[in-house]
Amino acid sequence: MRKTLVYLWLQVKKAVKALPAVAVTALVISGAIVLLFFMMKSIGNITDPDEPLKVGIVGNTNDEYFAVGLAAMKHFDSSRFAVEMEELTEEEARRLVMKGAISGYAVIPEGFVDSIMTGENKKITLVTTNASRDLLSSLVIEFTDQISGYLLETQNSIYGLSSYLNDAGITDRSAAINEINLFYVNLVMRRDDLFEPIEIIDEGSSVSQAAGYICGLTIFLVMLFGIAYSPVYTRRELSLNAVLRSRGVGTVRQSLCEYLSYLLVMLLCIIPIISALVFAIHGSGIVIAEWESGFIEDYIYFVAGYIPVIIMFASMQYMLFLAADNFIAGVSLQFICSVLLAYLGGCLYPLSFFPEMIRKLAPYQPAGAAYEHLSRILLVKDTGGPLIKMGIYAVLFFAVSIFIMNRRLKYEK
Amino acid sequence: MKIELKHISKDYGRKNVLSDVSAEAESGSCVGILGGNGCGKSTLLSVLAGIRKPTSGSFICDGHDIFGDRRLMSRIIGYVPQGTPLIEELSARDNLRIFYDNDGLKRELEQGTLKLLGIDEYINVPVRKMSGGMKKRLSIGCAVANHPPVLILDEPSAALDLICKQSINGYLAAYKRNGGIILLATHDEEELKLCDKWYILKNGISVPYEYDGNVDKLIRNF
Repeated sequence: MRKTLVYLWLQVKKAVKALPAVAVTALVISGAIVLLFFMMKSIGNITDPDEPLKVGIVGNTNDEYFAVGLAAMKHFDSSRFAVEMEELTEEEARRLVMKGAISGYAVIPEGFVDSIMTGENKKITLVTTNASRDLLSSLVIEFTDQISGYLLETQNSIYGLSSYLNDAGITDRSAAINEINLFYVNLVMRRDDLFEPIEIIDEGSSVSQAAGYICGLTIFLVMLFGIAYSPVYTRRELSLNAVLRSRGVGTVRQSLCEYLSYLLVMLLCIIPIISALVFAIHGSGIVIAEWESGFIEDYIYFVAGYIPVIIMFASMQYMLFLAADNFIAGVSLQFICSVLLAYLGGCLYPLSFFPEMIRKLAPYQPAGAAYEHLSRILLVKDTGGPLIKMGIYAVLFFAVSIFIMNRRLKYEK
Repeated sequence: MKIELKHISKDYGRKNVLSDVSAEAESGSCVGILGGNGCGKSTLLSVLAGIRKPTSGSFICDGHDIFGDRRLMSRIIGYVPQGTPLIEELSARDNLRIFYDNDGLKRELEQGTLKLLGIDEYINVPVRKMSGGMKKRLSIGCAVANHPPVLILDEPSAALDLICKQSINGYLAAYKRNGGIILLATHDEEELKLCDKWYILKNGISVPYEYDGNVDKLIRNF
């Protein structure tokens, strides 16, 4: 037992001694992740989900009919909650699109309304960035559907009214026409009647986009930490482990000492880095919808949530340290596993972009379970399920580590 | 003390590495295990050190089979592997702490084995800054903590310069004089001279050999 305790103490000493050098690498990785987060924000990928989509209107907006239509859309139509339209000059609109302040802009050609009346149909040009391309295309399809719907409804009502008036022998048609016009205007102004209320199937189970990125990128940071410690823990040979085994210190006890020392330095290093990241994000004015109550309480709860995540990934990284027998292989293994798991776990891209199969499997793999755990903390929901999954993974990785150590001791010279 | 290796065999799955190894040694003697590369010398020594389990056979020490008693085995055997069984980031003192308690370490540094090995001269130097010879002496220092009666060494002087070899051989001779038993896998001529008995491992079987200083003749027997 004395040998085991001394070995644990020496492993901690070794890990702490390497801490300054490792901290530099960890800070570089953290810096890259912070940069990634703020880049995403600056190009407008991270937005408040409740914020309306901003679209610019450029070109010939002075036409009387067009201006009335635009004003109606901006002030009366139910779409004003989802889409905010702003009249701009083309130069200004282009600048705002590049900055990410608006999703795109529509260029209305000269004589647009007249062209519709004469059946010429001059085309509106939509300008956007690659990032917002799909969104704006969907919007155009939606608007086109609506316009087709209006035309059809209008045609039907005109023919129907005409036929009714003929059948009823009514010669004074002005009152009836007035009434149908009012009905039509009412129909246009209340387009929300055309839709059923939107059903959100994952309501309350997913965090806002900004919070999602914070969870995802910080999990990725925890995973990449293994790279920083690879030079310290990846070993070409396990001679010391062999000698200790011959002196009665078994591989389980040895692995436990090495794992605990690594876990300790991981906690010492990562918790302050994540705290700093969270404060930096909070200080930068990014609104995290889930942190509305009291920031400090939320912060403590959130950061404490990383402890089980770190316990699991420390176990995984320790397993990878043992699996590699040189520094290059160690770093490569850590990097490949981190990127792969983070990608498939929804840490780098929202899972909604992935096929259904990956979406279903994600919560059952380590990064996905960690993401689910942190999301649930932000949503103040029970995290029992993800905690159990992470616990199982931690034990499993540790068991595989012992297996690898035994196997290496068996076959290494 | 007397040790006897009786019909030791070791298989890795279907591959048989050792099929019948038998040897014996008494206090104050050194046994050389010889053989070509890959003949199973390191496997045999790791089996005797308790790192790998034998497929069959026994390791009798004063009438007790110590293969079945790990605790006894760890008290009797001191093992120096071919590699560097040290924590590179830490000092010699730290590495020795695993195997020595505080009083024992102090005593051995002042007038015991560690002083004899010259470790006291670089006790606070980190392992990564040490030469190959310093590391090897430190490895031996770790292995002989608590004075085990049997010392197993796997090519102790491989890749060392002449001065280091001399220093290590000097220590091994002293260990032997003090009644210890040394089991040594080696290719080195000086170490061969240190031995009292020689066994050649060939096709997994140990064959007694009488070394007369003729290396060419020895190589022909591999």
